[in-house]
Amino acid sequence: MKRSSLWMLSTAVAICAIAAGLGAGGLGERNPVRTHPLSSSLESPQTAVLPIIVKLRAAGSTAAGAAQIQDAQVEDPHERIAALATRAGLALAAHREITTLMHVMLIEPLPGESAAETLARLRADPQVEYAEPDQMRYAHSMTPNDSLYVQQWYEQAPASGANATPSAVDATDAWSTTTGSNSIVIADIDSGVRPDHPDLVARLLPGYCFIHDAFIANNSSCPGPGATDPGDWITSTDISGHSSQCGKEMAGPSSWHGTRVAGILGAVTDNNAGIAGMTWNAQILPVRALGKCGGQDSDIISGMLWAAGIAVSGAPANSNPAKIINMSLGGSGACTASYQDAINQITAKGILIVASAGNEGGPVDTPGDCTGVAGVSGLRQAGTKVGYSSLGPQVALAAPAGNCGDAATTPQSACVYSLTTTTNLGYHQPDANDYTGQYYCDPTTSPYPSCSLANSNQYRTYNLGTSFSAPIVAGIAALMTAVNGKLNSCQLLERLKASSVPFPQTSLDATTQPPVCHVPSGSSDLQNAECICTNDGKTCGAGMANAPAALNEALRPIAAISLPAKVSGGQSISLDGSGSAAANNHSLSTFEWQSVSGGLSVTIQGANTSKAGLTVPSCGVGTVTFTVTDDQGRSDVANVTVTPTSLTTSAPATAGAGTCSVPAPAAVQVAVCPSTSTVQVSANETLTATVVNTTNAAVTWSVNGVAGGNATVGTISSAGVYTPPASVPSPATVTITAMSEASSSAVASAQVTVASAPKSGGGGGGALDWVTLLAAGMLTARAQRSRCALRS
Amino acid sequence: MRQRFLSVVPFRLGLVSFGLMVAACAASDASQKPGAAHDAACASQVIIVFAQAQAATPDPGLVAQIAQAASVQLSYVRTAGPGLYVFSMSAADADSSCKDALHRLRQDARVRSVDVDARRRALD
Repeated sequence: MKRSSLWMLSTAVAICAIAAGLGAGGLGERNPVRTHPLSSSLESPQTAVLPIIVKLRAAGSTAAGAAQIQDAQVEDPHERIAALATRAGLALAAHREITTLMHVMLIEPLPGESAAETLARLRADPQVEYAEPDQMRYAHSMTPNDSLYVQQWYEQAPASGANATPSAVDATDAWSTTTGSNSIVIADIDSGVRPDHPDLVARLLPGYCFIHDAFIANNSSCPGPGATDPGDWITSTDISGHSSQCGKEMAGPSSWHGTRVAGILGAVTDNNAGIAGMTWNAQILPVRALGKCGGQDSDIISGMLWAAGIAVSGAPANSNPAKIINMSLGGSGACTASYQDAINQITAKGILIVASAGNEGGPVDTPGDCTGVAGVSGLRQAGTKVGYSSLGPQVALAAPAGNCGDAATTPQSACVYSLTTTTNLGYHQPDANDYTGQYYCDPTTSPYPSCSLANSNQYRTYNLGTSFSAPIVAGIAALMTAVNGKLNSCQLLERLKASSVPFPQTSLDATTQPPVCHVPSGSSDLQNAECICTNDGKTCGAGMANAPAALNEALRPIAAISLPAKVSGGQSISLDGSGSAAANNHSLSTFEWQSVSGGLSVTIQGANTSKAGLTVPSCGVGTVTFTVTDDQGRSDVANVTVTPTSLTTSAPATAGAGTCSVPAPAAVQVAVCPSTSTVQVSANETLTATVVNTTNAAVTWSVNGVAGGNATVGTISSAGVYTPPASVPSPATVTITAMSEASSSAVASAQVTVASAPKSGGGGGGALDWVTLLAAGMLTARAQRSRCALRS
Repeated sequence: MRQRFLSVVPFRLGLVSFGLMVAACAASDASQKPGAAHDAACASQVIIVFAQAQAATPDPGLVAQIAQAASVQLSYVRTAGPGLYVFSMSAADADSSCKDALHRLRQDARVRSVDVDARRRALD
């Protein structure tokens, strides 16, 4: 038998032997992590070939006190392994080299000898550094056993083939890293929840109702403790009798909307029933702000602030402040000042707000369009924008929203891509707790079969809307927070975006390819049909949410930099990166400070320590990068922009600090050096423009506002060489401006005074007219105050 | 005719004066009384953020001054959160949307922002 054949056979036998032991263990409480097959006992007599990993000692290196073995000098590792087997009295069935010193030995079983005894023989040899059984390992698959998980395509790995689901977020993979933490609270600002739903009850915290309008509240307990949803059904009488609240509504059953959102956020998972939540362990804080016909901004804002742990008059202190706030609600119009004010207060505490983009196919709803909010647009299973989803540059990223394929046009067909979640069957009042389905089931009107409803007071619907895209992302954010508790809202938002997957540029299931999505030009510019999301971040966000990629982003460390408040040119200062931090259960390994090429070169002292020093330049602008790397080789980078008068960074001073400046790309900056100078008409002056925060270092020069200058004021070349006019201009001082080609708002200027050429003859030496002398003197004084012109 | 005319003028002047006094009294009190402007052409609930930080409830004097300057009636309803105050606003404006009244309030330097307390919906 050839060696390779023997190897395969032996491995198969070993796998079978180990698998045979599977049934022997695993009794007792079910492990939420996939149960690993138990290895066969090392103490039992071996009956199959035993695979052992052996590491040999380097030649000449032996265990302390052991006799030098001659064959340690043998170079051929195969000969060394064969000699080892002979010395140990073992029959070598096969052998494979991993490295020069590390090998896998397949040992024929000795009658009656256990694996432990075989290992002991090898370990006793002075040539062996260690010997270990070559065991089976398993992928950390975390498929929950919830009965409806099979319908939750949106949480599973993207399927391929005819029924491909590229927009699925692959929570299954992420759960092998973490299933979340019960110390993390997610607020569900919505219509309240059904607190007795068996798939939610263990996850729910006591909530609060902020509805001040008794009709909207539809019960007498608002405002007040508790967030039980009494139902929000609308009758024709409601519409006619409450036109100010319900004038634009249609009569219909209760939505149980907050319950549906809560299920996706964090239904009890792996409990052999119902659905799996995006996070298995986070706590859900229900905050009731919606009721019949919606909810008022003022109530919603109060709910947001309270959820964040910010005091709200009339409400008790929230003892369970949220780390993430989900808002599957909205309305048309631009973000209002009051929403932005509340959002700024909340994000300053490090809390992330996730909001739905809207279901109009138009511009993003408020509050999803507010700065600092993770607005989420909705995708079809194919990764294209679902027709109803709103869109625009305010969207952060996209997630499945559910789509029915042909269900809308084909009777009796299922809504295959519904987002199955928790709900209640009550048409008006609460009834049995249940789950959304893949048909619309209304005993009085439904054309669909298999509804299994008890009576006409019940109904079941499929589940669609950007309302359900948001909790998918909020759930991912909760998982991210579970592995790196120091991520603030800006970092969570940026890492969610950075980890998103590019949108497919074709629709997998369309007979005719849909158009490319565009930025809505106004509220009447609706894109109510499927469209291809652009990958420029201007329509459906940065990309498709992806849970394992988001966790990889979350696991990166956080670079933090503390800077001196005030600096001046020539000053020696310290850049303090000691506030940086690694993810939970990890540590930082290295620090690196580096001056970025392209701008001003900055000399750094202590470039590989957490605190670096530098001397602030007197002119110019430069960028210093700070890289922190953790014990797993994962890194984070932060930039510091250095000018003679300021040091700026978007990095926090300390990782974990709640304070979060709204993320914005570092502004392009330009500096021109020297900022003031004097040149004689017969000479040239070379000016240097440095540009930072862009890869395009090119600038456009002008003299007194004239691009490239002219014969009257002098000319300037693309290289920054200024040639004065033939005679001293009036006034003698010209302004030379450099404008970044990357950003027209990034300009900087320098003042150049043109002086007369030295008079020839007459004893030599030049002479300046008195106007020039005066101008030069004034400029010299100014130059002492500021040696550099800098703008962004 | 002249005599009649003369007799009518003082009566009309008195009526106008009385009316103006009543209107002035109503206006001076409107900022404090909830529902003071039943006959206003526009009414809306608004959320106001003041330029200067306020206590848990806003300074009634400041509110009255702002209301008078903007020719609106403001009635404090509640505090939605730190710095965010809910008012019932009304004005005797022609437009029922209160757009003009909101614009006048927003022109006041003592007001950082005013937004209509709009209705939002679940996005299913």
